[in-house]
Amino acid sequence: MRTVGVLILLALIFITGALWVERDLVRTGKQLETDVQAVIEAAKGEDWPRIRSSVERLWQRWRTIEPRWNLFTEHPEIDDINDVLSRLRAYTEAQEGAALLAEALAAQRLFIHIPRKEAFRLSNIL
Amino acid sequence: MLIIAARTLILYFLLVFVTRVMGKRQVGELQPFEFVVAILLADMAAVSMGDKETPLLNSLVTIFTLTFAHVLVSYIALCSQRVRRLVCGRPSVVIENGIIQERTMRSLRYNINDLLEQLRGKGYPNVADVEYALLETNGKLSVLPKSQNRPLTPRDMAIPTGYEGLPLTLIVDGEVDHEALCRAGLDVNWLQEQLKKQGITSVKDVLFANLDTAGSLFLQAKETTREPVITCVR
Repeated sequence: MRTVGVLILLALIFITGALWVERDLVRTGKQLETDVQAVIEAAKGEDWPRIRSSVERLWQRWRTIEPRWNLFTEHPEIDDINDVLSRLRAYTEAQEGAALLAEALAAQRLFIHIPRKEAFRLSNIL
Repeated sequence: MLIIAARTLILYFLLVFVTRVMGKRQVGELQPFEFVVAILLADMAAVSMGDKETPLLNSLVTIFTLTFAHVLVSYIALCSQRVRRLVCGRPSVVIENGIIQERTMRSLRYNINDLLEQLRGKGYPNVADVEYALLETNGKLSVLPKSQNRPLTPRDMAIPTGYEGLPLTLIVDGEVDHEALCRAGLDVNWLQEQLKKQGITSVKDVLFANLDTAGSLFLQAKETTREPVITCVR
């Protein structure tokens, strides 16, 4: 009976932890998405000082979030985000408006797509 | 994380179901083709458990298809001896009339050391004691010793023996097997009476009880240090 109790407790801890991770992914994904949206707005207005500060803010936030995402998501996706953000910074330095906008939209798609893919849904299970 | 846990649970229950459908044989008793199917199923399930990129439905379809094909082939093999021979092969005689069949062993790529190892495992360290040895289709060796080396049986000694059938399990973990009781031509009232004679008030207090063909009732109460009771009830 004690073994069953311990197993149920462990299962509850696991489920609670997994739900917390899922929520955290959605929350941090939204924060990153908002930051990317700021970059997109600035890129549309070709306001380079604002673009630079928005990209830097996005990069810093990603640096704090990345270790957590590394634990719970697929590593190739983290590499994709790093690639996109590196290109975003390079285009900001080069002041390439169109390319920067394209990369920002790609980053936004990744930040929406990954938490959605990790969500506990029937479509993701099957 | 929850996705992987859910996928693992689905595949686990599916495998439990599939292995029940596929039969009762153990790994050592499987035919080569059954062994391959078992490995394929395990591999399919293991890959899909951890890899979220692979749609689970692909694995489900593969597992169901393999199971269907396996059950179908087994059923056809059951009905047709020709198919059975094709799928499972035939046993090979590796020792005939005490002579090792060199040609058969060569065609099976089965060497003398393998033969001696299996004979030792069967309790025949000396090849000279063996009349016949057959390599079965599941890879096991069946041995027929020379008549002088056979274990002694009651018939050899002309000792008369009585009928010894299968004992009927009447109670397991406090639960009565009514079907077994009925087969023995007895009822719950009889059982209660027997328990009362042994000072047991409820069936729930019994760990195990069985009745053999000679009419002996074996009874062991739950959480007790007392020796099990064996009484003759017929």
